[in-house]
This record gives sequence, C-alpha cells and structure tokens, in this order.
Amino acid sequence: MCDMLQSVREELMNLEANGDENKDSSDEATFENLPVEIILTICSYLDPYFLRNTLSKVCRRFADILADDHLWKHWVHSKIKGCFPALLDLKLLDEDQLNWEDVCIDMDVERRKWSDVKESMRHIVVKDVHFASVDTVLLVNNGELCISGGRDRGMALWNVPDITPQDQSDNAPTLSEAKPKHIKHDAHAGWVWDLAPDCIDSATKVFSASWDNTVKVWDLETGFECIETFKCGMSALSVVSTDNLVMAGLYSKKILSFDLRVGPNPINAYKPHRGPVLALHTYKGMVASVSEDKTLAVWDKVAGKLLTNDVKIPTDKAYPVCISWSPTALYVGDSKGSLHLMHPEDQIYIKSHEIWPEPPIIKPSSKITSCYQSPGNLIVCSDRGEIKFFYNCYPPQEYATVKASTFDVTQMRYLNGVMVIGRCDSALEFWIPNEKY
Amino acid sequence: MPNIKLQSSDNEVFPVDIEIAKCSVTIKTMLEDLGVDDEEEEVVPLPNVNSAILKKVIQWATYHKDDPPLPEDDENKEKRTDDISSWDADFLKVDQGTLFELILAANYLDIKGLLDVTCKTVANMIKGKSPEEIRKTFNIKNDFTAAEEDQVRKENEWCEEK
Repeated sequence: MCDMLQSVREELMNLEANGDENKDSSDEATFENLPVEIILTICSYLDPYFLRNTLSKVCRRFADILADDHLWKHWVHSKIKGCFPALLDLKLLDEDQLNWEDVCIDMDVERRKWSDVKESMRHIVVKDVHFASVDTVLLVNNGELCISGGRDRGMALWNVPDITPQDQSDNAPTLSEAKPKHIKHDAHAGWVWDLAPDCIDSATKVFSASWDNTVKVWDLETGFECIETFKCGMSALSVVSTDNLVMAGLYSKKILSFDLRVGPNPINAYKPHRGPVLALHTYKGMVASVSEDKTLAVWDKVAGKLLTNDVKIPTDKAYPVCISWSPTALYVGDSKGSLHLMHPEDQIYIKSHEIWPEPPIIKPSSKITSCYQSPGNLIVCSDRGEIKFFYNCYPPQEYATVKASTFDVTQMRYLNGVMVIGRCDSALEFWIPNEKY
Repeated sequence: MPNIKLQSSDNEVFPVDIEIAKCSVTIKTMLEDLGVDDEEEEVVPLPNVNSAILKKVIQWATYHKDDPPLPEDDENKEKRTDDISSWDADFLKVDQGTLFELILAANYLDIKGLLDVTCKTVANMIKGKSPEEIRKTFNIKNDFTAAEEDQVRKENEWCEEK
C-alpha cells in the first residue's frame, strides 16, 4: 500500500515537474513572443522594404503586426516635416484609399537610392547619336526602353540594359558607346518636341509630336516603323494618349484628338486656351493642359467636354511648362522655378512653392522642365541641370539633389528606378540602378 | 553614496547606488512618487526580473552611469545599427534567451539606452536574412498554411521579375 502511494506520488511529482518544464519553455523570452511595442522598436531599425518583403513573411504574428495601416501611416508621418498628402481635404482620404504601406516603402526606397547616387546608380552619358539638341525623351516598359527625339528631326529607340559604361573607371558620369536599337534619321520634317506611349507599362506604340505639324505613330513591335501620320495643321508641342485616344496640344491654342482606328484626321478639337498649349497630362480619363496664357484646363474624355478651364496660375512673369497629376496632388511647373499646387480632385489653384528661387537679375532663372510624382516622392528637374528629390508632402521636403553633367536640360523622365534626361548638346544622360529594387 | 536595495523575482537582494538605479525611469518614478527617505534603506521589489538578468542590468547601468543623456529621438535621421560600442557588443555576447530577457527587463524598467542597444543587436541579427534564415536563427515555427506560403512565393517571384 505504502509502495503504491509512493509510486503515485512520484508520478504526480513527475507530472508536475513536466508541467513546470512546459510552463518554463512557453514563458521563455523569444523573439516571436516579445510584446508588440518591442517588436516595433526592433522594426524601427530595419528598412520598410525589408519589413514588408521579409519580416512579415516569417510567421503569422509578424505578418499581423505589420499589416496595420496605422503603423505605416505613423512611419510616413515620422519621416516628414510638412503635410502629407499635400492636401487634406481629399475624397481619397475620406474613402481610406491611400495605401500607407506603399507610400512609406516608396519614400524609403527612393530616398536611399538618390541620397547615395554614386553607390546605387550607374551614371552614363550617350553622345554622337543625335546631332542636335535632344528635346524629348521617354521611358516605357519598366524603364527597359527609351525613346529620344530631337532638333535633328530624328528619333532613336534604346534598349536601356544595353547602355553600359565604356570603362570601369570611378568617374561619374562615364561615357557609353551604346548604339540605339533603331534610329530614324528623318522621323519628321521638323523638330521632334514631345513623346508619349500608348501604355507606359507595356508600350507597343509611341506618338511623336513635331513642329512639322504632325503627330506620328511608331510601332515598337515591328522595328520602329511609322504606321500613321496624324495631321495637326499647326506645330504640335505636346502629346498624350489615353486608351485609344491620342491628343495633341498645338501652337495654335487648340487641342486635337485622334483615333488610330479612324485615320489621320482629328476626330475632335477644342480650344480651351488663348495661347499656345505648352503641356498636356492625362489622369484617369481626364486631360489637363497648360498654356502660355497662364491657365489650366481639364478635358473629360468620357463626357467629351471641358470640365474646367481658365484656372489662373499665378506665375507672374513666368509661364507654365509642365504638369504632374497624381491622386494626391496636381502640380504645374513654371519657367522660373516655381511649382504650383492645384487640388487634384477639383483642380482649384491652392498655392505656389519656389523650388529654385529667382536669382539676381543678371543670372538666368531655372525653368522646371519636368516634374514627376510617385506615391511618396516628387522629382523636379531644372533646365540648368539640377534634379531635386522630395517627399511628396507640402511644402515639398527635399532629401537629395542630383546634378547632371550639363547646364542645358530639355526634358527628364523617370520610370521604375531609371532616369533619363535630354540635353541641348545632343547627348542623353542616364541614371540606371545598379541593383534592381 | 546612498544605496537602494533591488529585489529580484527569485528574492535575491542587490544593493545598488541610488543614482545608478535611477537610470531606470520606472525606479526613479517609483522613488519620487513614494518620496523615499534617503536615510532608510528601502527594498524595491522587481517581480518581473530574475536575479541573473538583474545582475546584468546593474552591470550595464554601472558602466553607463556617467553617459550623457540620450538625444531626443529624431525620426528623420536614419536609425543606425552599426554604432554599438565595443563594450556593449561584448556585454551582449549572450544566449538569445538572455538577450530577450534583457530587452524585456529594459522595457519594464524603462532604461532607454539598454533597450536601444539590445533592439539594435536583434535588428543586426535579422538584417540581410531571408524569412527561412530568420526562422532558423530564432527558432520560429512557420505557421503559415500551404496556401498562404504559395501566395508568398508568387509575390516573391513577381518581386524578382520586377
């Protein structure tokens, strides 16, 4: 009897001991069971891209913690000093449609890249293909294809991965002997002034606007052949495309629409300005235009009518030259270095910001040749060869400046990490990421 | 120098210089709130910290007692993880259990300097690793379902193609 009791007792004690052991192991401090606030402190030392693509894939708990939109929103706001988005009275915010995770990662990835261009980028100049000012450049298909056009009336199609440095020297920029995939010496009978793709992610056609009063259609799939010539009757200074519609802004204040399926004649024309149309931009079925008359107009493609026009841009002595329209801001850049913020949803003028303050009278001012927005960033390029990188808040918060190796820039394009500028000295200048993000 | 007695969860008592103990905001606040008299030697119970960890914490606080106060967190500045002093690096050459216990203790006792350096150490252990390597390093079970895993794999392929 005694023996039996003894053995039962021992068994119980064993059980208890085992129980304790189990308890110990579950109580033991591990990475996975740290409190949320500590995991977040550890996360604050890691970059957002790594958090999304690696840490959140480790286990469900990390995934759950990192799925919280408030967290990403907090991180975005901790980076910026100004207001993000630039405007707060957006339907987009009421409807909770801003992806804060994307914004945060976009801000972080771009800032890292452009704050350390020497390490992150190959900076390459390509000469001797065009023989006059390269007035327009375009990037499509994730930055793998580049198209250039110039005052030599020619156009070239470049395979960006082919653009490699001539030598391995540390000098930046290095020259490249890369040759274009295709070159059309007499693409137009006048200067080639602007370019647009049918679809930026998977372009099959490119449209070129020229001073020869035409917009031409180039087929990228069959060796860069011209497959249509739209007749504009006046110099075409800008071109955009949305769905099947190609729109050209003319020197004569008019904006024409063409449809490739219909033929060379315009299917519609409207005249929203009192001066030459200097730039066009499409956004969600709408086409914004700015003109030498210092106003903005917006055409609704679906309704086939003007949504708004005569929106005054207070440019003083300058005139508007480029447009960038994103869900969070509509920016118009002018010829004297200022950006003008318009409401992206109702296109009302809000305020202006000097990116390049006007210098003393004897020095040339900086024209904003191009402006680009991504979810979290704003890139602005001047004709004096300075490219500035900002968080897309208001006022724009600069984190990097990159200098081109020229003082005469015509146009800048940016796509998926690749940046290209056209130069007055007939060269193209590329920044191509070393490591694909 | 007046001392204070800190008692660990397993009832070991450590006499500590009061100024050193005060690097813990938790203890500092406790002493201020209680209005502790310097004359009598108080025993402060710390039920969340065992003696082995408390010993380490005191060792760390003693070494760092003359550190200038930490600058305010500037979130704009890139948070570095390569600025751990060699003394701290040696001090933190411990097994993972101890490291995480130290983090929990630093958090509970509110010792910012120690929390920062331990979290940085963990961040350095994670950096540059794949999810599988992280699981291996920290003995974390992959608790995603096969379907979720497939999803992740597809996303990754997409990322790489991009």
